[in-house]
Amino acid sequence: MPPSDDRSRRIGRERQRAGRMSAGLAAALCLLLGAAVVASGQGAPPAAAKTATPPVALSFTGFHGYAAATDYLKKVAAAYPGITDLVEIGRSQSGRPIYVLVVSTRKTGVTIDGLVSLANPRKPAVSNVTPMKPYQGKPAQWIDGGTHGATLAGTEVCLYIIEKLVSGYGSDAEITRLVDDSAFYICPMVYQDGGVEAGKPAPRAETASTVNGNYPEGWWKDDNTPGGTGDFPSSSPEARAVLEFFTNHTNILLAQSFHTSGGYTLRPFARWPDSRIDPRDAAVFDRVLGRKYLELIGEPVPASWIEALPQGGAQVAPRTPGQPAGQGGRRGGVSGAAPAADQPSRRGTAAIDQPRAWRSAYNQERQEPGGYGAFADWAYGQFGAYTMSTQLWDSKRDTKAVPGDGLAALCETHWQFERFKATLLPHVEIAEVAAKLLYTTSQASKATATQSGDAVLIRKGGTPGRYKVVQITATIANTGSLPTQVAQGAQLRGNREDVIWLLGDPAKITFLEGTRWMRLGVLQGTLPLPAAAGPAAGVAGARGGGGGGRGGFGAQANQSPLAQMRQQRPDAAEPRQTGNRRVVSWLVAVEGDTPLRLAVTSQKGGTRVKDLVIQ
Amino acid sequence: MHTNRLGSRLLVPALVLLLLAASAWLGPVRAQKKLQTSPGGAHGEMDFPINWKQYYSYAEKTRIMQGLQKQYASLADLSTIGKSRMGRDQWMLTITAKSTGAPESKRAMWVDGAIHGNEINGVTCSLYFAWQLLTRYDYDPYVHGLVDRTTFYILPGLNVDANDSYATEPNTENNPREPYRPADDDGDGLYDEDQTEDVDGDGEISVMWIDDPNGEFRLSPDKRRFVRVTDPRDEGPRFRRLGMEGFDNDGDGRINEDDLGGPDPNRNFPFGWTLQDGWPYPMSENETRNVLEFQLKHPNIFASFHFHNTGRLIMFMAPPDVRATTMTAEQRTAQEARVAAQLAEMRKTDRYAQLFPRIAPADMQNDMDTQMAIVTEGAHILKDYTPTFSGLSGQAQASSYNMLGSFAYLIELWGPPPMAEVDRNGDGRMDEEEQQAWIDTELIGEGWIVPHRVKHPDLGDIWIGGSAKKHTGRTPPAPYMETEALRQTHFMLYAAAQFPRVEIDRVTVTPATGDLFWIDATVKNDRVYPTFSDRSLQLKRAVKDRLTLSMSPNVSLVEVPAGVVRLDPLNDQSAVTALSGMATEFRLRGRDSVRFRGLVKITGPDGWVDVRTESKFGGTDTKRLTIKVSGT
Repeated sequence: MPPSDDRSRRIGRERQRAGRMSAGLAAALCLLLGAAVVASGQGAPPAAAKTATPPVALSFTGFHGYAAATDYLKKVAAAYPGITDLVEIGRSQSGRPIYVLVVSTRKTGVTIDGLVSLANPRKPAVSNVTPMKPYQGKPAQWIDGGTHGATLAGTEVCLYIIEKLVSGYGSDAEITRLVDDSAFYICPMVYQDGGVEAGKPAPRAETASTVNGNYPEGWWKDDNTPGGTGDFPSSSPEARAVLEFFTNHTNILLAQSFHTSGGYTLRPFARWPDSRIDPRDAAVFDRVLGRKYLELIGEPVPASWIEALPQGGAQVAPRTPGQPAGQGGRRGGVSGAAPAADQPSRRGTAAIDQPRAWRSAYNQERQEPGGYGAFADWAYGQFGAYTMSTQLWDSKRDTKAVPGDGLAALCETHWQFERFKATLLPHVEIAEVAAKLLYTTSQASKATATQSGDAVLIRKGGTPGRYKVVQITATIANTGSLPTQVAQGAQLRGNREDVIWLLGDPAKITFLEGTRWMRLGVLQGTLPLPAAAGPAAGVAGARGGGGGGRGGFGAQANQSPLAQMRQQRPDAAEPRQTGNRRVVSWLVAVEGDTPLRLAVTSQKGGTRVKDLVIQ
Repeated sequence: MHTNRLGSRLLVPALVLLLLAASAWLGPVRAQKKLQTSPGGAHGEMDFPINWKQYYSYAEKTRIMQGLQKQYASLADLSTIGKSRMGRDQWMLTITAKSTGAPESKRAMWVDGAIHGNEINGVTCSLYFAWQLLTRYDYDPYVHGLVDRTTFYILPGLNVDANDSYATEPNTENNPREPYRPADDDGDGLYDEDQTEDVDGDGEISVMWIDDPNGEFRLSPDKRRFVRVTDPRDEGPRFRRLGMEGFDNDGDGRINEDDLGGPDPNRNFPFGWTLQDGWPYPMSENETRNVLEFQLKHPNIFASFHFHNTGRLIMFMAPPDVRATTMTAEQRTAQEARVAAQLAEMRKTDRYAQLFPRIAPADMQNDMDTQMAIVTEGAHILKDYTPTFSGLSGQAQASSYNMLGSFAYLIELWGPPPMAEVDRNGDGRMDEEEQQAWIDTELIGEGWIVPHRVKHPDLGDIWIGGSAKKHTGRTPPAPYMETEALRQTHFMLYAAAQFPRVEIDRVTVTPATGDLFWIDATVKNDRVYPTFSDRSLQLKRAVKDRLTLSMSPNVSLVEVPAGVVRLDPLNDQSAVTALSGMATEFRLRGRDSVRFRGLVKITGPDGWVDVRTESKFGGTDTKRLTIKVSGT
């Protein structure tokens, strides 16, 4: 349908302006890229293949539709195989592949499943477990755009971020470190069936998409009727693809979704009041992330966010993730009233003074309940990632949603925000290890003891061998700013505490104290957050492997009497360990020179390995 | 009235007429191939013999279903509703008489078995039901009529990967229960890394024991069981129970702590879903998602049955308790006592009577009444099953009812051996000795694993045994499989026979005044189920029943106000619904009828009036009245 004269004249003028701008922009880009190529040859961290790779062209003279965005992703993946992985995470309603481009150094990273070899597997074996990719052993950050058909700017921001990461690798020290040590999961176009093609003006109305609103957190209304979109949570293939990707990539701790419009960012929850957010998470959202965001977009930061954090525990209203429909009364009755601590303020008035550009969707001035099935609510409340949704563009403040200078500047702002967030990711490392030899012998052989009455008969047998008794003490530290889980994250099903393994041939190691793997709790980060209110972020000594979880039976079969006694006397346990450090120790008897190694594995804080040298 | 004068000479033919008239609601009786002389005997079963004394692997079950479809092609279609995680098709039979209409055009019953991988008794019962429907069609007028009027969607195995493992491999009673999504059950960072294994290679997974002077168990005198030590002075070897058979695959000192699979499939459905039980997200598993998506695309499904093991329960979906949050503990106790007393009174004359202390919302009372009637008869048919309310929490039947409005049931099959067979000392319980005796007698001693020594690579010298084999506890052993399946078939046939049937009972034309006449039509549903559930009305999924008039040109309807009128102001029973237009909507509950009255003008000598009823789940009916006018 031909546009009206008036509209076409406006578009024509804007196109002219954009054209002039884009020529300048293209020139600027070329200069920058040229500079980058030159700079990369000087004193950059080693990334041999990168410096020789010509950058993949990316311009912002038009919105990239599905075809152009996908084309760009494929070109980047082909040009930078050492630091990218193009993954198809599902198919849209119309059958188009949905892509995530992983940006992370392929040669770094280690995952625990590659370190533990399993003995005597069940036969016939079921191959239902796929080996993890090395970058799953690093902390990760998710970024998406294009959840709605017409939110084109979101796709552009994602492509811009990709371009910055891959072209900065090897030349920018911080970018290189980020790509080496963490993983970026970037999905520029979650929903592709909006019919958007490059070069055409943005559609005026948002194309209907049932993706945001189709997530499981807060999908049901209080009266047990559907509130969110779709026939059921996850019914849209796009939402299911995202849900499935997150489920299989539990190393995601930060998540960002780009939408339009308005020029502000929403943090959780859309469905629930702020009383349901743990104060520690609220501190991260507002004082760390929100503060930086407001500074970047040039809006005032509330004074209270800059003051020192209050210490001491705080009350948190209990919350059941995935508020079930039909629960609340006894005997499965109709959903009961919300607990008293939860009572929302009268709708239409903001309960808390929140800045215009950083707030929770729940506090938006709306008379009717809403926010059903939002992505950020799910990714934070059920998955355990610090998640936010940005509504790009403010039509009053920015130029209209047309390509050119305005778009590039917008992309740059949000790239800075994503880069800042990436520097906060946790990194769990083995800070110190001491392996002290206590006793060694070369005449040992297996012994059995039988007793009748007061007489003990010890029979020695087998071939004598060498063995050592070693005490191993390890200090594990989270050197990153953020903790390895959100406040209640380790309690969410699918998540786990940080764990350390002492690896070596099980046939040649006897654990006298400690077990092959032990829990470390949740390591805090270096950011000072309010003290934990709920279940301990620390752990009472490094507890023996297991306990909790279903099935299996105790390690008591193998534990020394000393260790058994310790477990039975909780008051004799070591002092509670909290904060960002843990100390664990073992006493093991090792045969010969069998190698030992430590592997600390944190779901969102990364996995690290250290070989042991016995003094 | 006239038949009275003919007297008893016509009694026998009259009875035959009555029988034929009764079967008229089933449709015309097709050629009955064999006259069945043995009551409750084989009706066409020998046309497709199946051995019901074994559990079938996925491949065998698929072959059976293919064979059934091929032989009964005029009644059955075989299709897949999708693939499992490991790529197996979920095969489903669609059974209905194709000669009377396409499957989607008829109201349907959904049946699935073994959503939990280890509960494969459900596979047997579903398959048996399909087999009965198909083999009896030409022999049994009852089944014939049902299959003519109703569609049956039967999915014998839902969790096909785990079903196959449970049927063909060594397993504990409890696993594999879940679909094969890997999960880190013990929080060590590895997924499904420490599963149960058959350590001694005898094809069974039993219990492991180890010599331990401080252990609490000793061998029974007959050396077949491990029993608790009751007398501390008891000398002799002592044992400690280690757990189920397996190796320490990951070397962490624990065994079987992270078994195969992850999320409970019957917590994966959207209604009442929680993260703790239904991880990772609603409808995350292909096996369950395929079922809901099929049901969404087939709104002709009226009721659904889901088979599980164990417990001999008829769990049924019912409206919520409207006073759940407002009753105090004392009020609740008082109410329960009242209900228990009333139930005891009812059970004096009917041992299967049911009564529950739940008050449904006013607009859902009919659903409650309907379910009460169905499960009471179910208790009678299944003999030792107990009706009980079903939970919500992401279960399949909760979504069937609360999201789709279908009447839904979860049947927990089997349980301890029947008390009459096993309770020798009459204390109402089965103790270990009685269980042993039952295995020795009813199962010819084949159900037991005798303790024996084994060398274990991680634990050294151990004992394995002292437990019952698979298919004694959770799933029934061979001699009981067919009885279990047959009773379930009878229950489902009963339920299907009670699907609503909207019929025009009678239409009359009587003079009103001048050339105006009253036309009265009585429409009834004499089945237990209503034409749609209260829940479907709440969900706005219900399609109202319709009555449509058509008439010859010389007959016309006079517009009267809509509404319900009492013909006799003092008599509540004389209420009629006014026919104010050519089409009227209505609703029939179970065992319900409604009377319509319209005013028509008849001119000219001849004419006719057609009354037609259409009900989404209750079928269609028509009646034509021919009118002849004589005189001026």
